[in-house]
Amino acid sequence: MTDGPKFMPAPETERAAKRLGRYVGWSRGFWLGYVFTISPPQAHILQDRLRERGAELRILRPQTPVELASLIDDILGAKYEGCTWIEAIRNSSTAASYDALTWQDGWAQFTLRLNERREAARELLVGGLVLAAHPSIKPIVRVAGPDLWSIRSFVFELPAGPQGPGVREQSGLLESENASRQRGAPPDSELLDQEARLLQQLQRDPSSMQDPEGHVRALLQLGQRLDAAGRWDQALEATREAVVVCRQFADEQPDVFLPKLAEALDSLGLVLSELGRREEALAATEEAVHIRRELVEARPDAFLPGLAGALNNLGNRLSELGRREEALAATEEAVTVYRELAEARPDASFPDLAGALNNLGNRLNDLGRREEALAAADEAVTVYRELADARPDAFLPDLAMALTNFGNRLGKLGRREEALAATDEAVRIRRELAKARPDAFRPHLAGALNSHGTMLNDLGRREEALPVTEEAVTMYRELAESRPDAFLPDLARALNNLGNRLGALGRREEALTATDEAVQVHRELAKARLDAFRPELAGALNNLGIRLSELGREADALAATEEAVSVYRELAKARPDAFLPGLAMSLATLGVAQRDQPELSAKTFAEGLRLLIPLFEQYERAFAPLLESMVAGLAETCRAGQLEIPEDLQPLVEARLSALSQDQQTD
Amino acid sequence: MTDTSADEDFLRTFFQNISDQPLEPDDPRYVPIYAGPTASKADPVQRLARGMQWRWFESVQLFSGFRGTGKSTELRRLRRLLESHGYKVVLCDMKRYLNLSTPIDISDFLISIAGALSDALAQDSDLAGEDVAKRGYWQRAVDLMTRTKVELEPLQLSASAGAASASLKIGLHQDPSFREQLQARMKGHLGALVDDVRAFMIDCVKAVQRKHGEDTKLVVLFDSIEQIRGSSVNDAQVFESVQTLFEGHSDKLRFQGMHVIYTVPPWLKIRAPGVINLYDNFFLLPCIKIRERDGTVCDAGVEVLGKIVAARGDSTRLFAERADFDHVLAETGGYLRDLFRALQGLMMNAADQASLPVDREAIDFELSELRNHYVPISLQDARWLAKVAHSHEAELPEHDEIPNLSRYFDTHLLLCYRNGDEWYDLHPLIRDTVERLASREPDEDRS
Repeated sequence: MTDGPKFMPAPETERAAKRLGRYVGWSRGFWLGYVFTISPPQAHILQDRLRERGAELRILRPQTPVELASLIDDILGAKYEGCTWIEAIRNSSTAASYDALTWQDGWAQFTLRLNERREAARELLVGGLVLAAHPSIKPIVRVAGPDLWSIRSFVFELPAGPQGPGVREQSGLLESENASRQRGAPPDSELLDQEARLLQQLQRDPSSMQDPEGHVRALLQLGQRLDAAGRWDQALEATREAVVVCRQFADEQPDVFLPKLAEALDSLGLVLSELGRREEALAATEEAVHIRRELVEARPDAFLPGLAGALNNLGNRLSELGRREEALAATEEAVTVYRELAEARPDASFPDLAGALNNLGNRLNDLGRREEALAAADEAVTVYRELADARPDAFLPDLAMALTNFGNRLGKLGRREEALAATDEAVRIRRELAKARPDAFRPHLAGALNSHGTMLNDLGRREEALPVTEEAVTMYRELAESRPDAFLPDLARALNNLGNRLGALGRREEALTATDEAVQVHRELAKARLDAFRPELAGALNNLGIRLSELGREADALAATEEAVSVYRELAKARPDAFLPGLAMSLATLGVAQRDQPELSAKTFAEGLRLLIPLFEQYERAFAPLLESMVAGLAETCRAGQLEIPEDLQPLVEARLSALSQDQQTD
Repeated sequence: MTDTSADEDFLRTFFQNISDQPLEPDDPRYVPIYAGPTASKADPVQRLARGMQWRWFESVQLFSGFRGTGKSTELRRLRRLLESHGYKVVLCDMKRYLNLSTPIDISDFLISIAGALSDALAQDSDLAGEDVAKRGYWQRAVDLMTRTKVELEPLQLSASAGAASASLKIGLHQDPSFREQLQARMKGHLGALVDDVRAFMIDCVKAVQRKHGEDTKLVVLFDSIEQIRGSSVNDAQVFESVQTLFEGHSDKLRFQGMHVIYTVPPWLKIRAPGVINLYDNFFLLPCIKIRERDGTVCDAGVEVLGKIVAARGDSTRLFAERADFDHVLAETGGYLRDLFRALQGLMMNAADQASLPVDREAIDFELSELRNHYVPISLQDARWLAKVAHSHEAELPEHDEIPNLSRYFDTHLLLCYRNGDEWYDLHPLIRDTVERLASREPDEDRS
């Protein structure tokens, strides 16, 4: 037998272990504790400490959610004097395909049943019970077992491992006025650790505050490096500390510390955003913009670039929260400022202008202004390509990002071959980047794969599209496992696409499983951030309706699609440009789901067509497939129900059917 | 600083006395919380008892309480008080009979309460004895189904009458599909079922009177019904079903000659305010009030909490100053279980540091640990909770939101107090978090 790897306990784990030991020693009769961690080794340290104290321990590690859900009978079968430890430190959204239960479901069911049988638990588990789970399970067990939660003795939230923030005292580190992401060679991890330790020592030394400016600079530098290394939790710690110190000195020395505070807040917004903490990110970025506007009033030359950067960031943060119009306004203002700056100093401002243009394309697309979005994305690619030609190490990642977005914009306008070429190039660039720096670029590669899979599918290359999308899902699942806040939305999107890919290949049960999981994740996300995630929830529900309908589960399909229509209807009321296409699409799905009721179905198709016609007239290539399927659906429904096609739609239906018939003869 | 074993012994004993469990009124740790002016001007136990004593024939009262407010302890006090007045009291823990996570229906509810009562009578031969207990309601219900040709597969497959009644009991408790079948098939026979249950209840009352004298009153406390709640999948249906049960079928829950108390979820009154008029009394057990609505300290509440702790250990050895103790009382909001958790944490902290009394840093640390139990709080929740903090009303936007409101009560994000009227407030530990989160969402984005 060989020893497994040894893990260092984090200070929190040591504290928890000591506390747990006392619970075991002091408690008489049943007690209940929760341990939340992403790191099983940290939980195992607690177990080791208990054993060292001579505690009798029964550890149960269910391998599937189903096994977890059915553990109750095992643990309540007989009285147990020792401590019972149930451990399933698995991410909530990880579904075991063979039983279609997620860990979230497994914990919910287990907790629900234990909650009902808590009196039996009190009688039988006299040495205490510990439930060890992933942190994302905490809200689940609170709600599923409120009685149990109410009688908890302790909750330990353990970190992943020992932490060591800090930075080298000074080392030609980067200083950013506009808080845009720094590119270049990745920081050396060993040196970064040393720097972190050094800064930690400095922080403990009161004399370090004799040079607060240097202290802030070091903290910001460290934060940016950690950020670049993908060590966002540590980056957050360093950046927060920088904000605190800046605030402390901003009144006393505003000339020095107000710009620094704005910079620190910019960085803080970026790091919080990376961590998926969007509201906090927005608050930090808004404050940064506010400070920078004040600074610009006094010294525009010095502070305009910073303001443009902060506005650009603000657009991103607002967009992340689904506040599209405000996001567009902020990004437009950023582009305007950068254009002015680029006229005076093209070399210095071109990269920032390209970034802002790329974002402008995204913001316009979010509002359904697709031609304008394409123009902005095109300009961004052009600028980045020039920059990448000159300095590939610095600008290839940006070029790949711009290419992905450009491809998406082309795809939205029906220019699919061009779109595929763009996303293919983006994947190639990102695969190379991810090979070199997996931590920093795997999320980007996953995003590029997701887009590329869509493009391949749209071109009818379905067999090729599936593995590409599967790779994206696998990658996002791994990423979301360790950082659910940041990557669950991406995982949900990729799952939704995977459902589409499988559905297109006729693998209907698998398609349903993927789409259902996408809906579940979106629903959870929408609970927390309605504005940001409702549109995607609506889209996933629409697809779920299609998947269910394909399997003949008409009633379920109808329910899902009706919910999609209802959500889109509300969204389109507020933002018709962005959401009328979605509403029309969901009405088409609903029309199909209502096929047993021809009159209702015809009415639904007709409503969808009337909404779609103006869009089709404007963007024919983008909406032709949907229009044709709706025309066919309406015609078929009317024929089946012996109904007249509504008068206003007759010319269109006849023209499209006739064109379709001619195409088929030609083929 | 201290490291003596005497201190360790003191801390361990105090810790063990703080354990959270329902107390009998004669337990030395028992403190009459609700008898004074601290939570309200009314002692719930006296009120409920009077609700029976002042009604000659029968009564139906609803009793509600939030987790950890001492509801089970108060029910035990009620039982003791009524027994001292010559009542025969049966406490039925309905979580042993009902499936608390699926929708409930009047038919399976009636069978379950009658079955629970018959089991309780069978277990205590001193209560009723005779054949009421011997035959039990489960067999009677199977007979009714046979008579009315309600065919349920598990019952038909049972080899004997005894097995069929056992299947019925287990099916109702553990098999949602069986319950669904039963609910569906009893729909056309509800009248017959109501008659049958009523007849059984009357038999029980008569049996008790035959054994103990005809002036003896039977009181049945149906406990744990307030714990019915669904999962994320079915919570709306479960809440709807509980409302329908208590609002739409109140007449069927009243039994001749019998005093009955049902424990019900706290949200029922909010969702269906008219429900209180359908019963003889509705009493909701609030938290111990440590602050008034306007934020001023409620001395009486602080005093009673002090007594509760004093009955379990010497807090003056644990805290350097009374102000520190008061701070812990204030931050735990009169919610006893959190007060106990905080105190236990502090005792462990003192033992860890070998330092008695605990200092303010230790207190802040333990309260901060406790605060972490309540986070994360979603923005959506924070917005609602902030409104409640402002108005002290439930701020229920739609009935569809009852599951959320229930969740706030269940998880103690919201606490309930009373000054005549009930009012709500945030748990003090989450106040800052809620305010911070709620302030982040601009008005124009609210829907």
